[in-house]
Amino acid sequence: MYLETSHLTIDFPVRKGPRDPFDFESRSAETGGEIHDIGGKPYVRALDDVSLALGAGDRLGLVGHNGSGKSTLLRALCGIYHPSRGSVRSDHDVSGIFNIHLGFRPEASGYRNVLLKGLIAGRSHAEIAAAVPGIAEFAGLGAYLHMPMHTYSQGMAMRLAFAITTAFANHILVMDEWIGAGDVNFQDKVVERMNSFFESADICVIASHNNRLLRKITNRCMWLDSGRVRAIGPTAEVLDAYESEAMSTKLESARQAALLRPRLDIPPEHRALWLTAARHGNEMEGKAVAWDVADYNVASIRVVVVAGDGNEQMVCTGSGRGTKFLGSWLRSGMTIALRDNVDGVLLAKLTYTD
Amino acid sequence: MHQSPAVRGASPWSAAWQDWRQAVRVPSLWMNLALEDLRDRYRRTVLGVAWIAISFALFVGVKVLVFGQMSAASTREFAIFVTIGFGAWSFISSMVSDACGAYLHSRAWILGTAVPYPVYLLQAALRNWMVFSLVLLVMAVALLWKPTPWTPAALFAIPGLLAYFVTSVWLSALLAPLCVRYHDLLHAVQTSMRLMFFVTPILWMPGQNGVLAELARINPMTHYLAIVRDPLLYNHWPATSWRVVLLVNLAGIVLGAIAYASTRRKIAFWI
Repeated sequence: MYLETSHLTIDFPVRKGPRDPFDFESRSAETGGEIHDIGGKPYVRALDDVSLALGAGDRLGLVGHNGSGKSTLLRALCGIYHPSRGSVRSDHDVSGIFNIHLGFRPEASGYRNVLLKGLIAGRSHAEIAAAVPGIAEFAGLGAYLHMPMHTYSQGMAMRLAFAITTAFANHILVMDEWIGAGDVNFQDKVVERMNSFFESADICVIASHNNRLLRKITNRCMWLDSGRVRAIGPTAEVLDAYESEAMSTKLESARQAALLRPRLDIPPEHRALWLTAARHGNEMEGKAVAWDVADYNVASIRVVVVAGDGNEQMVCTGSGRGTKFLGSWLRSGMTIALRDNVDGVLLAKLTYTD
Repeated sequence: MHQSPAVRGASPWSAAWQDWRQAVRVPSLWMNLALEDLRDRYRRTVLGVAWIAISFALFVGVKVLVFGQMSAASTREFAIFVTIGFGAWSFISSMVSDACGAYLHSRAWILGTAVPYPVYLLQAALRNWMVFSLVLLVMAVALLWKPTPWTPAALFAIPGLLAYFVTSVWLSALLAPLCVRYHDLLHAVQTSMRLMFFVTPILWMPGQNGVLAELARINPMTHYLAIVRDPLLYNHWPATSWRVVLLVNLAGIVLGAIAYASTRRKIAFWI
């Protein structure tokens, strides 16, 4: 079992009406691929020289900011986009889930959509009929299975799409980022199903902005930046590098903001840091730490726990206003401090007593 | 069902051939997609697809009533002439405009699944045949009033329908990719079909000579209608019309194959 790309490059023609101005000079470097012209016509280079080789049991995570080429790569792996240069090779069919509006008939019932998706995957009517109870059970649709899909909530449609695709997947599966968007229950089910899917040593490529999910289900990651591979390797390595860059970018912009708008003094009567009751997801209940210093021109903070010997352990970073669930982690006698993330100045401090 | 690995990177002709082979092997997929299209159109109606037959019958009835007054032919002859002519015309004209929209209509599927594109072309063709089969029922009922005696020559209409089928397939393969690339074509084709209705002998009989006869002779639509209408109405095999239709089909198959093979790699980017 393998899935490989070699020097995969994809150029999108930029479609414009005869009177749409197209300004080559004012291109934005923030998102999207590089714009260049081939024979006088504008093209966006969505993927640039991407090579990867996956074998049996590999689960690749794709990270990168919006427009970095994740979805394009997934579609190219599926055979929806044909390479402008380079190639995609695999020894099995590649199944994909993109967005739930693509490849479903909203007016048709969930059941009819299961049938169509099964036929696309090359299954017989008997095989599809056999798969229906499992899909209905996973999606938790009940009687909704025979109602039009446009009557479903976003979450229901997502469950159905995921259930159908994994039920009919032919050994290689690619998934786009929406999969990380469901509620906590759904995500647990996704992780569970993904793990059982991989017991059969299949290949999966999943694009997501949910790094926690990627750490749980992938063993390798690829970091895409403007269509180019920034890094590829073990999940922990790539995600640590990706997160630390995201962090330093954030810190840098906070530093810029601090230069323009210096921090104001926080009056002692202002409640900057406090504990509050909260729940995490559907199950856990406990305390959360909350802070609010946004009005004093603080753009980036960090919450730390101060140990007995004065050493500090980071809890989280955040913007000027926010909360962070602590749960059972919080102990009586613990001291929590709020610091400005730019210059490290102590803003507020509290000690928890039960 | 998905494009097999061998297809990627092969020559455009063999890749196109593989696409068609794969699509033809899954008739239940395009049949169900076509069925879903029809269901969408008549969802939440009481009469459902019966509307196709009803609206066709009413249309023809009113046309015969109004234009029959101006025609020199007997009412029965004119009625059958209009019923068959208009039935065949409505198939061809809706087939042409659906061929233009075959890819555009399936945009979400093209971007969401790696199904070989001929599935969408066959879906568009089949959807029109489903509609046409109901129209054919009305035409069959109308033929009870046929003014001429029944002879075996009427069976020549069957190869005529076969020619329609061939046309519906290459028409999709040709127009669908072109309309994705050039959206103006979609409107140009729809506009010209509306004009064609008047220069095609549907509501008027061409006669033997004069401007109308000349107009009918150079219009390929006339010949398309004749290969079905003449055997049924006049029990005769229109040899000249068949030559024109075969020639058009031959050219159409070649152009359709070229259009399909040369665009299949780019459709997903254009759409």
